[in-house]
Amino acid sequence: MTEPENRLTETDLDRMFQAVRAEPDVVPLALMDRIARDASREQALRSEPEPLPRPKPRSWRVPSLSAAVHRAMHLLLPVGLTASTLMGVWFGGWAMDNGLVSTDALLGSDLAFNLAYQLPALTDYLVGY
Amino acid sequence: MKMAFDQTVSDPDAVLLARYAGGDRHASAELVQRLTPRILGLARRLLQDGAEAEDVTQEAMLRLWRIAPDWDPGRARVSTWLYRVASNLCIDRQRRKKPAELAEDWEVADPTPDVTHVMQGRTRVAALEDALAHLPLRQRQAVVLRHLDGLANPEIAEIMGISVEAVESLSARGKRTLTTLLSGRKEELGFADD
Repeated sequence: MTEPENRLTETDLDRMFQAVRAEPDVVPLALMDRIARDASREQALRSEPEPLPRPKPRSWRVPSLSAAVHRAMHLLLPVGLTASTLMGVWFGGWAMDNGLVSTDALLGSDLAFNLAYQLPALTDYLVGY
Repeated sequence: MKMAFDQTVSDPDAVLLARYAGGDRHASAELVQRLTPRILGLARRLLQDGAEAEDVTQEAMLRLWRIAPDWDPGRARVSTWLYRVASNLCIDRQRRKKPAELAEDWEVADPTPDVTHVMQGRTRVAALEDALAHLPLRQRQAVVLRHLDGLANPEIAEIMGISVEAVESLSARGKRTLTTLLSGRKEELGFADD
């Protein structure tokens, strides 16, 4: 048989296609079973009722109190510092005005003496010493 | 909406899928009977591996079950959609398995001894399936869908995501390659006396 005679024709190929088409595609039972189980599972998943939204847990008193204190601290700290400063200024002025504290009394005190003795460099800053 | 309704009427698989989505347990069994053999056949011919073909078939069917509640009948026929999913899964697996496959425009100049000496005594079916395994994947896909699954070129174009002309070209090249691959086996295949 020469080469061109040995070549398959279009008709030969079509007959081979036909032979393959005639072969039944056998599906293994195990595969059918796996697919059927997938189908049932997916169907069951969808038919399950939507879970109700979980109620919010009640807020616990201690954490909320702690949070409130924490918030208040942010406000209280500067207010407290300001009040203390103003109180100190007012009390100092009042004490001076009422003769409770005078410059002479301050310079004659043990504190001024000890400071001047131990830190001579400070003497220049102490008026009248 | 009329188009979608018409599509559903002309596509019994879409009707079954809607019934399945509605909770009908028998609908899935019918769909499995109708669609699984075709999808498995396609996967076997594209992958040339029975176990992998079964995995692909199961995966494609699983995707069908999952899309059922959202199925839009106007989109495509169920079988077309399923062929496309299965084809893409096969291509993905094939590419992972054989990264350096033959180019799409590959043509056989001379049949190799491996191909010409394929198993003596095998039937035409086995010979054709062996030859199919040597086709580039896209040619194989076009030939299988056109000549073995008997789909029309426009449907194949939709499945493969290419033009009808490209399908025709791939299919024709695939057939030419098959003829070349099977050359020299005319007598063995029982065509010598024709």
